Amino acid sequence: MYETEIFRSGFDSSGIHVWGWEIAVYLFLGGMTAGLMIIAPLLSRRVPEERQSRALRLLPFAAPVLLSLGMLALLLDLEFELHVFRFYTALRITSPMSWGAWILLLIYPATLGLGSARLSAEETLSLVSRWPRLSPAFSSVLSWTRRNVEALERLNVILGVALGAYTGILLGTLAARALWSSMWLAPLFLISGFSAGAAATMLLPTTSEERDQLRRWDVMAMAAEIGALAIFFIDLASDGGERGRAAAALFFGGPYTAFFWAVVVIAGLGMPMALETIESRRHVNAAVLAPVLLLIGGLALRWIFVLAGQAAV
Amino acid sequence: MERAEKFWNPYLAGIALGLVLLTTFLVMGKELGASGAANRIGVFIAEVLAPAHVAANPNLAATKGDRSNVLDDWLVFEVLGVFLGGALGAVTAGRFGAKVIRGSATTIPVRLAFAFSGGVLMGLAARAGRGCTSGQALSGGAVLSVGAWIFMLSVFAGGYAFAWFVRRQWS
Amino acid sequence: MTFFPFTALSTAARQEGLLVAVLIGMAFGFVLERAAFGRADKLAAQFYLRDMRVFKVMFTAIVTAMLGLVITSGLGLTNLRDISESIASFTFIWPMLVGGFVLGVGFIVSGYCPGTSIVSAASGNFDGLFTVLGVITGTFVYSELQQIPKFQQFHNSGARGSWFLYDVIKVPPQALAAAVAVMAILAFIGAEKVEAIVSGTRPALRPPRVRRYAFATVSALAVVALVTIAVPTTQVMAKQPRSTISAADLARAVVDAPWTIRIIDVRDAALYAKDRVPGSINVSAASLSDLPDDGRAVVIVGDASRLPPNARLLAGGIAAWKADPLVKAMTSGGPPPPPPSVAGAATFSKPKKKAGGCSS
Repeated sequence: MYETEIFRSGFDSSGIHVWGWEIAVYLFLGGMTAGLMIIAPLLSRRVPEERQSRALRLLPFAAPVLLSLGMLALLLDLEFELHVFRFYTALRITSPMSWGAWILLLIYPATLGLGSARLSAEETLSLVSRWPRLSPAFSSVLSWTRRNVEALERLNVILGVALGAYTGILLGTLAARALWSSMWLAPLFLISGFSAGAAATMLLPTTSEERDQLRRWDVMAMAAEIGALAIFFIDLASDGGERGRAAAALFFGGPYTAFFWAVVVIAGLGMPMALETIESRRHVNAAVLAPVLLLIGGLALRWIFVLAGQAAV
Repeated sequence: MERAEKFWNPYLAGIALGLVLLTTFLVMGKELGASGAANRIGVFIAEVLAPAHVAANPNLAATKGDRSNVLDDWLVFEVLGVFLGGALGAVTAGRFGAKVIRGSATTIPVRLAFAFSGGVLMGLAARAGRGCTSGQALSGGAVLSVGAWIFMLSVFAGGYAFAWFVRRQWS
Repeated sequence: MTFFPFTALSTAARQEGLLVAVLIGMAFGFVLERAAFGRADKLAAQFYLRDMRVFKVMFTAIVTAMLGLVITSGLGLTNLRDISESIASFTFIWPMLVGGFVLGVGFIVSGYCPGTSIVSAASGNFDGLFTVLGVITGTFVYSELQQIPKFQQFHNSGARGSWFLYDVIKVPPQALAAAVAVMAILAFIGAEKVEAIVSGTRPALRPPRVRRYAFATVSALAVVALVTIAVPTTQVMAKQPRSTISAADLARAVVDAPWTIRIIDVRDAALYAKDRVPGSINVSAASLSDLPDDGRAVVIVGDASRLPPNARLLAGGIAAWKADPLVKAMTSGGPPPPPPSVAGAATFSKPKKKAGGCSS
């Protein structure tokens, strides 16, 4: 019971599939993608266009890259690869797995479209000059996305929210585990994904105006995440029945207690929240530390939920 | 710059450190350490890269003990806290920032090479001494262990004996 | 043993204990940072006599914790020897002498000690990060070196078990602690004189206020420590007439470091022949006082009305020994341990414990 198998993946002796780091990385990168898709449109509305950094302007392009990396991690997990294949071959309206798969497909055109709408004249020119043949098609796409940039922004936010929530529902579809099937996992992972997106953006060369705004949102998101965690555990222990209580106990005295509270709550939420508050109050620069801790905490949260879900039957 | 140089009075810092140490003694019945966690992290990395090698060396396998994960240990969690507490201290004092501390006559690669090789020496020494300056000298010294005092006096002797040879690093 | 339930970190409270470890570590790291211990230049200055900060902070900390522990145990709130044995590693004279020297060399070369290099790395210093990586490498290489029999022999040379200064110079721990505190204060004053000479300035006529308060605090604590010698702790101690060792602790000592303990069985020879602790010798209770002191800790099995100094009684007797899970695990299936002449302890595997301190 107290053996903490934190770093195992593969098949255990009973032949049941053991979900390992791959799915945690996928959920993490998926959540971060969702966060970026929400942040890119919202932040560019807050900051006047002439003062926007290049990083913010091109931020939509980061989303498909991160999502692809996440899917790559997933494909390393052989059994899941078979799952993925099935989602696309059999579309079932009722299955969250299935519509999740289609959300993923929609994300690519939506993010690339929004990104292309924000290309500057020089960037457009350099792209066109590289592939002169494609230039007519390219310019017609560009003129369409530029005309519909507001609709694309709205679509990005909606898809981002859907993707973030989907990363919280996905675990529940893998196996029936008390920890995984809670309805509160979706908002929790969505908020955490937003926070990870904000952290990732802060690591990019943004302006101080953008960073101040991101920091304000991020502190709010972290406070909300702590609240969501509390609600999640209260709900699990009160409404989850015997199995729910057993699952919650894993984090309150059980084998995951120290790792969860130390890495996710203290290092991954408390510290960055304190650092970012200090930064904005006293105008000192903690540079990369708060975002990096936040990202580590976000990954650890998903990893530990993947593992703990399998520890509690 | 002025703010970045503000440190506590050494005696005050010493009393604060002593109270942390005393709390650890009374609450945990444990020592404050550092190199023990380094040892475990080393074994952990080796286990990821070459698990067979770790299993074959009884000294590495013994570090793991009866726990399934070598990082499942008091010192590892304590050192995580040291990192967080140190970062919090540096940020609140306005001292946080990517930099290399070196004498004006020392280039960055030389300084980093010195830092690494000094670290290797200390890693070896901490294993021989059953602890480093924190776990052996500080904690063991405070409970008046004979070995800890031998170790501590020896540390100062080693430092003073070798200081002359590396004096240019710090000038 | 201690106030809190986190004593062994192997009990049900282990997880909470690990969490407390993070909080304690945070306090440790914060204080080290504020003490300027995340700065290689400030640390190295110690060895060029420019700034004796390392010495001052370290010894003030040692004296504070030492006096605090001596006072709490003097008042009967804690047991000094139990806590000390749990904290301090066994003494191995030669590796500690050599290891200390090499660590001192590594200190002046890198500018950090292992703990402070973590604080330095946490402040964003790359030299600190490289030192951390070096320490990890060094501890690992040591395990490889231990494969060489001669090296392993050195690693275990000069073994003295749990060995404390107040055992060597036989004085009450409180008196020794007070003496160390006084010597530390004198050394601090001397250190400031040295600093003044090296930097070429005159020492201030009136020492700064913080320093006076700090010295006054330490002196007051030292006096309190001395007073606790006179405090009738004998009444508190009377409730626990003699010190004991639990079967679990003894089992671990037998497995890990049998050379540090001498186990003496004072029961009837017939009972001894039936069940015994491996490595124990059978002596009549009356002849206990004739045993020469060879420096090893003595554990008595059976009922002794008067324990020799430095001896502890096996709590619960042989029954508790037989019931201990570790003992059961060692003896299950096999015949009872061989008679003492064969030194049964040697047949057990020796997992590393009490390699102690940082490297535990």
